[in-house]
Amino acid sequence: MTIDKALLSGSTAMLILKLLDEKDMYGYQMIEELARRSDDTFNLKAGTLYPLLHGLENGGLVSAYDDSAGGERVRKYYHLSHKGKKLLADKRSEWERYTRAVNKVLSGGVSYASI
Amino acid sequence: MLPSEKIHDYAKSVCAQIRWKKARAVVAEEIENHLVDQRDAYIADGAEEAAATEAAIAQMGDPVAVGTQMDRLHRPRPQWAMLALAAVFVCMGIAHTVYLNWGSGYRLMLDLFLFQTFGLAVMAGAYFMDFSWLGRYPRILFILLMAFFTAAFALRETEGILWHFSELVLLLLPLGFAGLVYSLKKRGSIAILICEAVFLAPVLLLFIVEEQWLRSACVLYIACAMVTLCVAVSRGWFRVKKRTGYLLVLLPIVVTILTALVIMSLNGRLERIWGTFHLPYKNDDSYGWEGYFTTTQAVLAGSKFIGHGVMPDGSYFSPGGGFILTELAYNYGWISVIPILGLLLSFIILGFRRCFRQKSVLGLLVSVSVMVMLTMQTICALLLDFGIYLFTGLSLPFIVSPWSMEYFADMALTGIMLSVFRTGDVLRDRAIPKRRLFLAGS
Repeated sequence: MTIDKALLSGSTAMLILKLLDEKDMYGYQMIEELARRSDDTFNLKAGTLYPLLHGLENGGLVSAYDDSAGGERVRKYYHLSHKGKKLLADKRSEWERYTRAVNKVLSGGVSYASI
Repeated sequence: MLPSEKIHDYAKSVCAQIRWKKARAVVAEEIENHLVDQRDAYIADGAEEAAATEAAIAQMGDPVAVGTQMDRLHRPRPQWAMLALAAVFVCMGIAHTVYLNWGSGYRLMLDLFLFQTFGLAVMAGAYFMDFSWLGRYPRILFILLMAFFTAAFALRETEGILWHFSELVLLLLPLGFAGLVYSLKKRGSIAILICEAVFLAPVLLLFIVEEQWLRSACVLYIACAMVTLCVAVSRGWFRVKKRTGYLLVLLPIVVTILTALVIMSLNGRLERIWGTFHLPYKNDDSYGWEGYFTTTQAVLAGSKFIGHGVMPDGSYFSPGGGFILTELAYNYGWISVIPILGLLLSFIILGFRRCFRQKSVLGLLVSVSVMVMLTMQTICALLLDFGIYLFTGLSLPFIVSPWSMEYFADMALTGIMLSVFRTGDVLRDRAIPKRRLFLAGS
């Protein structure tokens, strides 16, 4: 099933931050990992990912460093900063509030928490 | 067209949309790396190289759209606020010098104009300079400055002009030291000890040279180098545990400071310094610095919040050349001093905030070393201005002494620091090829 782009773009930053919360990664690795964990639901385009990562880096949410990829090649790894961790926590609780509210509406006003 | 050329062409098309040329290489490398990874994954799944390359490029999307987004994200940061503050300080310096020398003839004013113009040209040149050469050839500046200083020191009796420039060299040395630290990435504890030996060596100079300005410049260099080294340790630059790193940096410094304090205590200097912290300072000797501290603190005690001050004993206060704040406080009240202190504080806070936002360690080390230099200079000059003796021979950055070596050093250092803030976003810390370390014999 393809997911509506508007729904995806709002949460992409959160998903990327979550991946980086676990370990430092490079761009291609993030796309692969996201696809694997979502059973290929989130097939993020590289053309979307890199501007997003550079924006996060400019905002100080992630930092980047180079590491060898074997031979002459050097990969750019991203690392979640303290500020990024804080934003991830905020985004996560915001997302949970949102999904709870959506679920409540979809279930006809019955909160799953009260079941 | 070969598949690898297609990848290169795609990255080129993306980068063609980025107007800031310095940012292009970093973006191109990342995109090419991604495309190669993606292509290899398709090949591993059984695709032909040409088809795999096409698929990888298609997965990336429209190069113009990607490039346009990258263009929005990668722009130089001109640092208008800090430039404006520096300009205000320079204008204040001009006004102060003109006020002090009013009526001294057009020749002096012409000299002032020429020096200020040259100083501004130095800063502008440094601002537009590509500071990343410090990362490409990290030890050159340090070795050149050290060689100059050693030659000037050895020939100081016969070649006075060389010795005259030694203050400038010492004030620029923290930049060279930042390059040296940068070149010792992942070299372990031994790298910290090398850096320490290099920055503590000038301590010997403190006991040899007579000139107060040179002693002050030495102390500034040592302080800058110490902070730069601590910052490098905090970033794990040497691949040494932080606790061990801090211990290696701080232990010899503490020993040196304690030794210096004992020596200063024995020769009475410590007592003199401590005495000036007990306000208002009184010393019967009305000549030299002792007399200056006594007068200055009396003048400040007689200064009002608004309006002209009154000397406690009714005597007349004649302002000196470089002590602008005491003079302002006395003539117009503290209200005229507070905005200047506020501007200086704003410059310092803004500067340090920018330093710690640097993405590269080179940018961080260079900018921190400059900011520590300017901050220390400001603190020492302010204390001296207010009649508290810590170090003599230093003046407020940009504002006082527009025709001194200190002024040119400050202009050059500030220009380089603003260049870091302007373009540092696209700098990457790389392993330095050995051929570029040749000057240090690696």
